Amino acid sequence: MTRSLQTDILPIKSAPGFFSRIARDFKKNRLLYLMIFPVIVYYIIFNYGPMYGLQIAFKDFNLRAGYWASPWVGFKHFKLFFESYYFGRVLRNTLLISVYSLIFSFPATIVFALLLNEIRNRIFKRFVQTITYIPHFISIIIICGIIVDFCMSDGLINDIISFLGGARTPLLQEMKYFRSVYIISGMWQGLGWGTIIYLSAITNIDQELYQAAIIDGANRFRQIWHITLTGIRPTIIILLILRMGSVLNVGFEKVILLYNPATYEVADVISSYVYRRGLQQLNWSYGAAVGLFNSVVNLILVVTSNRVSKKVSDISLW
Amino acid sequence: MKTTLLKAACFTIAMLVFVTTLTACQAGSTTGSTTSSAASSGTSAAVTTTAGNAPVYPMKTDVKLTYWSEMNGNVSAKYTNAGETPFAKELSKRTGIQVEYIHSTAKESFSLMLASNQLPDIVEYWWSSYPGGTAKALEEKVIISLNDIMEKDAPNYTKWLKDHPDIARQIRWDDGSYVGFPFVNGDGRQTFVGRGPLIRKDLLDKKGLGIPETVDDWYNALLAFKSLGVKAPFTKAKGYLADFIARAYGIQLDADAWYIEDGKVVYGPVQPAYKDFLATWHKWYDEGLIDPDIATVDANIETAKMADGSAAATFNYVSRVYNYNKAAQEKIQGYNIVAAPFPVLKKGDAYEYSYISNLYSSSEVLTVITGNCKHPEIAARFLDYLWGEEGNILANWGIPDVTYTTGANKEPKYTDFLLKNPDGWTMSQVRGGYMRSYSSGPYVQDKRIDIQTYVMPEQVTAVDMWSKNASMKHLMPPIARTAQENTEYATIMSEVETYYKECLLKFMIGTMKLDEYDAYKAQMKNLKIDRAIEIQQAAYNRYISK
Repeated sequence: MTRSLQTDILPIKSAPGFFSRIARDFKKNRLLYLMIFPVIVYYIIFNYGPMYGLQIAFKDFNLRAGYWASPWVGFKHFKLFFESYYFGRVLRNTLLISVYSLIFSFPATIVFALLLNEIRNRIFKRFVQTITYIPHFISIIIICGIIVDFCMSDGLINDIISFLGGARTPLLQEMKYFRSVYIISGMWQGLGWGTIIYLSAITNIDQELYQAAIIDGANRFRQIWHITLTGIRPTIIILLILRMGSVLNVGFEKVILLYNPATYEVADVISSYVYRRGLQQLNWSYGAAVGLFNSVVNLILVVTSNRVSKKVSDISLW
Repeated sequence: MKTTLLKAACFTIAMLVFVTTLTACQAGSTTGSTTSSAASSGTSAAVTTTAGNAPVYPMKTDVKLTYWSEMNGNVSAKYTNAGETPFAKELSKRTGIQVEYIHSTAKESFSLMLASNQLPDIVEYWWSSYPGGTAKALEEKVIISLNDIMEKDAPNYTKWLKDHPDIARQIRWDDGSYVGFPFVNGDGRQTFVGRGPLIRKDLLDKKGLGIPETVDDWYNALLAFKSLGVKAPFTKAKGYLADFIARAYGIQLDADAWYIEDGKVVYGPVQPAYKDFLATWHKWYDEGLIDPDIATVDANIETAKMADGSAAATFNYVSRVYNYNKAAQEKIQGYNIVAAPFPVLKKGDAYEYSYISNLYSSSEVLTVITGNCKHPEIAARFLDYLWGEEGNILANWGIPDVTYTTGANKEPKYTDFLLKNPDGWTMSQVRGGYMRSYSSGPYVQDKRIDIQTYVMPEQVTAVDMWSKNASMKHLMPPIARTAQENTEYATIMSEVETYYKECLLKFMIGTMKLDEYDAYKAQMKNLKIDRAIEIQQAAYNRYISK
């Protein structure tokens, strides 16, 4: 029995490939994969599948010719959009409304979650939570109907203003108030619901940290700052990155319900402008082109903020 | 034991979710296929006709047509589908052709139907809003022209066109095509105007003022209302904001912004007199004579304000005279809305810029046979029925002895079933169920139908008063732009109209001062309004020389 030295060299396996890793994981967690399978199928069918339709952004879409036979026109629709008289304005309005709501409602939700967490009385806490969640479920059409009514010269808000000594103004006709009305009403509607994810993140914080902090002599504010806030920091950052992905997506329903020609200058956003121009004229290619532009910009923003976040804080979406 | 049960439960749930997702896909495609199979059904298209061109109704055929139209509010109040209405049933009975009606209510759904590429046989819609216009739709074979089958399968329509060469000339395209069955206002309705200024007579009486006739009269009347404590003397839902006062200055806006002055096509918002109108309008707003919230008022708010007295003047259809009075008279003593004449600048001036419309308009609803229809002859016969004498009566007056009776003088007369319905239906709702005259459609609207529905004699006098106008010479006829012109025109106008609407409000509120008017005009030029005027003028010239 000879022992060749060479046979002592163990065969080197290459690092397990992606698919073999999945195969092994699948054997271990069969049920998990089965559970997520419908979701993946859903995304492939409804989100990735229809992407072939994006080509109409570069074509002059024509019903009879359909997706494939419509003629190619390159960047014609994009040019039409960028060169239109109102392009600069709608882009600016979209960005401003997005940024303002980021600056105001994003922190407000966090603060509100922290405050909710501090409530000791459980009944009161549940009561506040229920009341603040309800606006989220009310349809935007009803909310806008209420807003329009309140903002009229003889509406509730003006009643309060004149009670405090101010002059009555039709709020939705004044350019300087539009963004405030839009954002504040958005906050009113979304604040409660937005706290849910923060509250669930807070429950994950180890209670021993608080006890240790108390021993160290930290008062309540310090505890919130160093423990709670730091504890939900990953959640905050992830949500912020996700938020970056919808900067250009100021939804048109609320804008259309609240705006009128007197406030077009501050209220007209990309989606409402394209709605008037694209859908009402049945110009699908135009709508698709602008939608594609939106998505590309949003994608760049998400990827960039993810990378920045990774560098700065080690937390990232992927 | 417990873990295997848990695993089994998870597995079942996962499978259920998966299966439901797939079923949802399936359900979507099944409804799609039902529609298309309905459209392509018709194994035997047996059609009996007599020798010669007279069709025989009811026809003996198995073909079932699909008919797409928007669901009108007057019909949807009582029926879920147009096919359930007595009108549809009667029509199918008389023609012998079964029809399946498909609906939707939002404007966007027209595009959804087009995008789904499962076009029904007949589509009733405002085809002028198709991208590129009706011309493009024909080019793309989404719709077909009738020329080949008209003589044989649409004899009533063909005869009507021969009897009305003037309107036929308007309906016929520049290249001689006839596409679809249009909506036509019957003879005698050229100068008919059914809407105008409405004002509170009781408040005028309180201040000893007569019904305003000139713009200055209106100014005084609104001032008087303000002094009586009316918060919003004049109000109006956002659609027709300023129009009726502008017309006193010779400016037409909004829907009629394109009109004719001495053979030249003009656009209201860039006419010189527009500046004068803006000055007046701004003055009125400044002094609080116009509802301060006017930009946000919608139809419901307008009705509410008129009914509770916070507004005292508006602009609307003559039927509102009756509706407002009925609603408010219980709460407000002596409440009395009357129709006022259209104001002019100087007393005694003739009113020249009224709200008349063409007997035929290319931007009205058009009922077409689509390129998908497998039996265009049957579809043509079906639609042709309403153009014959009996069909016309069915469309306008409804079902004999139910909604109308024929008097001794052969004049049809609505019965009380329509005028005072025993089940409490409104007149429009009865119309919605029993005839087509509640809205436009593929028929000729009889001018006699309105008069019979006026409950108050004041309404009749109002309409008479409004209809006395010299506006025919300014009316823009139904011109047609080519597909090419259309695209250019649509692009320019979408920006121009946004700008015009914005500036109108800004000038009114005062955000833009009147000395910025020149900047406004320059900007309009910048937005290529001149090119749009050129296009319209070219189309107009083509029409005149047809």
